[in-house]
Amino acid sequence: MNRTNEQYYFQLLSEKLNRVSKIPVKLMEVCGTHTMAIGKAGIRQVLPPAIELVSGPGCPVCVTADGEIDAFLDLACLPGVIMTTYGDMIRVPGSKGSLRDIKAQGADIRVVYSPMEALELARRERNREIVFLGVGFETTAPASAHALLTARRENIENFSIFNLHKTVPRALEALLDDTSMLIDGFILPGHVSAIIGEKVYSVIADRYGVSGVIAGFTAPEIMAAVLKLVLLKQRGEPAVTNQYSHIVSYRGNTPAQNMLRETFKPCDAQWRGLGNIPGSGLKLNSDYLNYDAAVKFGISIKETKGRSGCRCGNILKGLAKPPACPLFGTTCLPESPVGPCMVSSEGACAAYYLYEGGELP
Amino acid sequence: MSGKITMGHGGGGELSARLISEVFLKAFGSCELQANDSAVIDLPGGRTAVTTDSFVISPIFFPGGDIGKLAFCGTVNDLAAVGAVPKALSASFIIEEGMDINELKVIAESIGNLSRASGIPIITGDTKVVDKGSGDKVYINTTGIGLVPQNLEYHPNKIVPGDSIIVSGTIGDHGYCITALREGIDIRSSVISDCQPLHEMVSALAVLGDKVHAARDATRGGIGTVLNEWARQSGRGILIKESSLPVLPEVRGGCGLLGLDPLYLANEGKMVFASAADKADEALALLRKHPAGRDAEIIGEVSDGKAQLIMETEWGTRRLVPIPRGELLPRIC
Repeated sequence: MNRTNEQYYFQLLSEKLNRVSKIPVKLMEVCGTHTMAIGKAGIRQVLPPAIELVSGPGCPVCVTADGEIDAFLDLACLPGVIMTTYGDMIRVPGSKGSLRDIKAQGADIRVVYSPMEALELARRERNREIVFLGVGFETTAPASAHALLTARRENIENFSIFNLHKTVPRALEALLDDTSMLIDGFILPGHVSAIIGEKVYSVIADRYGVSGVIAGFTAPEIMAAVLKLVLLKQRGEPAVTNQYSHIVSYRGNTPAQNMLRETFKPCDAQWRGLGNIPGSGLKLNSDYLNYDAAVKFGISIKETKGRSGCRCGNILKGLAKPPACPLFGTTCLPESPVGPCMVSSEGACAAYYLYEGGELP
Repeated sequence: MSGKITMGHGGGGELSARLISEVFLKAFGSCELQANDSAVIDLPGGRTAVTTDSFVISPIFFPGGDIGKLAFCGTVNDLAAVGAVPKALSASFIIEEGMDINELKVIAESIGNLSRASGIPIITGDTKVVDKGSGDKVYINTTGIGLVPQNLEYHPNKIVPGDSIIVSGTIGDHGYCITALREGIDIRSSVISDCQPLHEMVSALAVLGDKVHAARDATRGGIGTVLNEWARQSGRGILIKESSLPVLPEVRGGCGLLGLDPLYLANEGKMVFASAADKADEALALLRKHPAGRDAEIIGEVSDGKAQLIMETEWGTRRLVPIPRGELLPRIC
């Protein structure tokens, strides 16, 4: 579709949505990339008043627990260590500052676009310990798996991963188990689904009676998903459908899943704001423990209590919108964030503050 | 302001602004500050524009230019942005021990070639060598002076509601080109830096006199930052149309992949103008006659609304275009 056709399609979708919308419907976009796309395209302006979009726990930076943040900051300060990380993590504040702050104090922190770049650094700098900060869902975990497989094959000993990877399906179930949640439908993450496939989501409709639509990231794709979810809710026919089928298959990306199975196994994981969720994390398989930075450097993750006032928990569960947080826009700003939701380019608070904070004429 | 300097303080956004206001302006006193690309002072010889800039780019060679070309064009363009005719430049080099002299020759020659071609002489300079590890190959500082015609005064405080916003060509080329070269990205890119002197193109607008209200070289922080600063400085709202923004298809696609926004990517050969609405078409035609301005477009207008930058999206909705915070970073997924 060319740009003009897409614009026309978007207009048709919003007209139809406004025509068919009858009852209040609350939808959650699970993925942070959707949150940002909704803000950037100004989609809320064309939604009927009865439709509410709330952000979910699908920004990997935002759900990184406070104890995990402090642990990787401690690790990055160890002598001889070069900490490599995706750019989003560099400003996330822990109790002793952020990676950016400790970099300014002398720690060696490098932003990389992939763990393979970190591995290349390990090949070049044999006398340093290269640690990759493994953050992200099923979208980035296969890249970590690929780096682990390569490191093992080439016997690269000065490379390790501080693994904080999390997985989406159990987190969605945990959200739905929380009876306080009243979500009528999910806009399901396109990128994550490309790896895990469509079939894992059937439980949402079958057990919980809630609909889900796997969607792409353009404005018309998001609008089409909203329309579908509204229609499913109004008809009382919960279902999971795939509107991103040119990217997402029923079974997902099997080679990527195999790489994950070879290197990781499921474990319980701590989510910022949501607490412990069984089966929602990945830990390194026993064959790969010598690549586990936590084991290698004896770093443990301590429980810390959340920062006072920060309402990330309710925001990540879709129970509150960012402006409801007393810190939002006052002490918590993009340049001096209190919580990760304000840091990440995909965080709900950042999206709200940056794109919807003004008085639009 | 306390703590340590972070890379974010050099990003050209909110943190840079705070560094300047809370450390330097506080110490220097701000009464003489003109908050423009060049300062203009009245000297016995005429209205004189002065500007200075330092160049620390890595890599020092890139498709479309090198750090020398950048150092020449950057300062010439800052002079051009106040309507000045550049008269002379200085060039100072901070060189890291161990740098290849042949590389330095290439860089010096690009400055020399541009100087001869444009007739803007390099009249003074300096060299310092620092220990290996204390710098990154070479840093260059250039200072420029120029003369401003009597009837011209380009400054954001001249911006009034109704003005048209014009950009002189495709946005984000330089920033995208440099990002794609960065280690580990592995994007094969055909985009070259737009690094070029703009003083001749800008001088083509001199015939419009005071109908051109402001001009700015949209370097670090891109046009998103320039227009936010203009909104703040003029106290006016600025509305741009996403569908009018000239962006190369490869830059648009690559930015989507890397999580970057062309609005915030640096340009090294693009000027943004605010022009009286009744002269906007004429200004556009004059710009397009010059090779550096052939892709110029009117991208928006000034309103009497709140002092913020708003974009009408290609979907017909409106959203804020925020001032960027800290350094531009790749996204996580």
